[in-house]
Amino acid sequence: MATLHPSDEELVAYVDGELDLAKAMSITEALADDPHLAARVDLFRTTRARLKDAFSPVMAEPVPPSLTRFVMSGGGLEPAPSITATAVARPGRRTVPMAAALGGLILGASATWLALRPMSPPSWTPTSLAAALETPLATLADGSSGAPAPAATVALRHTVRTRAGLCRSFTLTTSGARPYDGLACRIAGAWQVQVMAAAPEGDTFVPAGAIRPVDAFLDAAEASDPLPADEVKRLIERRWAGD
Amino acid sequence: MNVDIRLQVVTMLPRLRRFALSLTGSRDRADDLVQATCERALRSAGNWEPGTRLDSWLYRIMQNLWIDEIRKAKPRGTEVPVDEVHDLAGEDGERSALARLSMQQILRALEQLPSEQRSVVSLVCIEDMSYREVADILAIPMGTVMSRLSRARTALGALLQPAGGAADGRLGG
Repeated sequence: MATLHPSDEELVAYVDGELDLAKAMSITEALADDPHLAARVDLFRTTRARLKDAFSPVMAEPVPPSLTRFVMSGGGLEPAPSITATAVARPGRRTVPMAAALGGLILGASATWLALRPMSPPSWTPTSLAAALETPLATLADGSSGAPAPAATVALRHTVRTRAGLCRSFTLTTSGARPYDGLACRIAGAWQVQVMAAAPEGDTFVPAGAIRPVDAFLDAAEASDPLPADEVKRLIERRWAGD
Repeated sequence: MNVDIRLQVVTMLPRLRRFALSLTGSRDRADDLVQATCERALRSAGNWEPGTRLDSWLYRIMQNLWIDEIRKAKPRGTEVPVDEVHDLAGEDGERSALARLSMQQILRALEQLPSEQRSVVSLVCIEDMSYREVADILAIPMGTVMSRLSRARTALGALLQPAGGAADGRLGG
């Protein structure tokens, strides 16, 4: 056994999953015979859990609207951008407090990998995800599905216009993993995944008023109503040119 | 300015507020810190390289601003740490009260830690960042991350144990 008397630093790293496999296994073995070590590990595990639990309500609180406005105005540097001329206001659409329920919400290509890390197989990376979704996003109509990779299915939901450009929502299902809701936007001539978040499961408790991350993004981006099928069809035929 | 980065920052706000609360111990100061972070980030948006972690970049900015504030002003202590934890819809009163109690205890305990330990333990335990990411955000060696983390969690373990076991005073580190 490599580690008979692990330090506190090593025990904390063990709890946090930061040790290599060999060292972690040696500590696992040592725990069985050493109540003191086991107590230390329990202490480090408990403190992490208590911290995480104590702060989790913050993620479910509405963000002060003034803060959201401040960011959207560029931090006071310039006026908030107006909705593009082609954007369609959504009559009667509720105003969703910026929000909430963003635990697990990850943005951007590099962070998408983090969100998807628990998914396997296949194991998505930003590059493989972007490559797998490129064709479905470019060619599928809303309401239809495709297979971006073996053992994976993507179902296109809606296409909308937003401040960020044309965006398409989808659900990605990978065999053996829970589905993920996602949103990709057409930026600089390419589809870029903006949001990936685990889709609520049937037995998942969802607090009343909780906002799904994709919806939160769409609200912040002042998305239009879903585009009609014939408009989406034209966009697909034009290969999203002029978007 | 790229609208896209604003949208990404907006969707980061809940996490930024959580990290700021763990640093400051006060909701008002936390939101001030978040706003200052967003302002700094948007003014220097050109320094962020698309494809790199936006969250790490924002955490780094917030951490630096917080350190500046600590250096400028003598710590003011906890200003009524958290007098209110917004009730989650669907929760009953007892559960909300427990959440409130837990938050207050944790904030009090965190405030006992040296600021450098508080940052590390918050980024790892609350924000789920890896040690490497924390080392990069705070510009410290991995070994320092580990030593601060173990000292912080040992201290928190003592501070959060049932009545009678809590330590008083500032903890070394």
